[in-house]
Amino acid sequence: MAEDSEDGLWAIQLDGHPQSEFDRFFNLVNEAEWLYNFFDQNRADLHRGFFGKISIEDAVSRTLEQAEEMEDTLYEYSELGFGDGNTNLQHLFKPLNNFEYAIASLQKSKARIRKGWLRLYAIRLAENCYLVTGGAIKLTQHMKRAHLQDELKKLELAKQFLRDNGIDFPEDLNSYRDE
Amino acid sequence: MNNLKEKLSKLASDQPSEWKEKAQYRRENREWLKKSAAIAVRVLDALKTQNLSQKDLAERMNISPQQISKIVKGQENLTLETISNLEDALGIQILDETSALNRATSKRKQQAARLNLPLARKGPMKTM
Repeated sequence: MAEDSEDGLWAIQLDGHPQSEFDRFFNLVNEAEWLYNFFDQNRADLHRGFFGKISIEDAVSRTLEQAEEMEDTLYEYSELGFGDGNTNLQHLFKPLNNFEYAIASLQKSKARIRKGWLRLYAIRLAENCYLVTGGAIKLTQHMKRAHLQDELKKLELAKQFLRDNGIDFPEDLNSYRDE
Repeated sequence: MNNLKEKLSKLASDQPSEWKEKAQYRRENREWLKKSAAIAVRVLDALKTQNLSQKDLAERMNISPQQISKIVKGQENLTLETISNLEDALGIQILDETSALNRATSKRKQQAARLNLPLARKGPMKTM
């Protein structure tokens, strides 16, 4: 967070979890065993060819590279206090739905690496203020896989939580396709 | 303090995020952490192929299952002795047969050396 403005990155922490979803995501995508098991369990999606046929070893390697790129960028934003003109979070986060072009309040959003499968999901609170609800490895074009459905649920839960706590903005007119 | 920040602050946990310290550690130790992850993947692959549990490997190496658990997370700064013991216990080569991760690291190093560039990446992340 910037000290004297609302600019910055927040994250949700689920009941009973020892860390925020942001911390949890970066811990997991930097852990070889978790990544190996994830790709082993999602071998069919990995080999289906959306990203080209690659081995689990290569998949782990690519994920570590993507996590590094994403984490480095956020680290640099954080170092600059999110206040620099070039470190506006709106440059990183885009609407969740690829066909949604309007930016809106409490909008479900995602950050991703170009040509990568890592996603960070967030609710847009202001131009330079986002609430991270989680992250995932997205190997499919759709959001049907259980771990991606969980992320959509967390986005919805977070949005409701904000409303319940008086952080509400006029509902935007976009319809979410959740892609 | 503006209204949004005030409302968010009221909901915030007293426990600060540990992410920045961990991210800094990962930045500073990046090259060996990648090698550790590459070794972890080779160990996990060998365990799966040979239908062995981490506990089996711990017994073969005469170390605790907790130590194996740390090794396969890919975040341990392993000694040559430990790597050698892993090779013996699993009948695999780790040091000679470099993995994709090590090749990737070397490739980046070679490119950086050719172009005289720093290895750390800079610049904004592209998003879509």
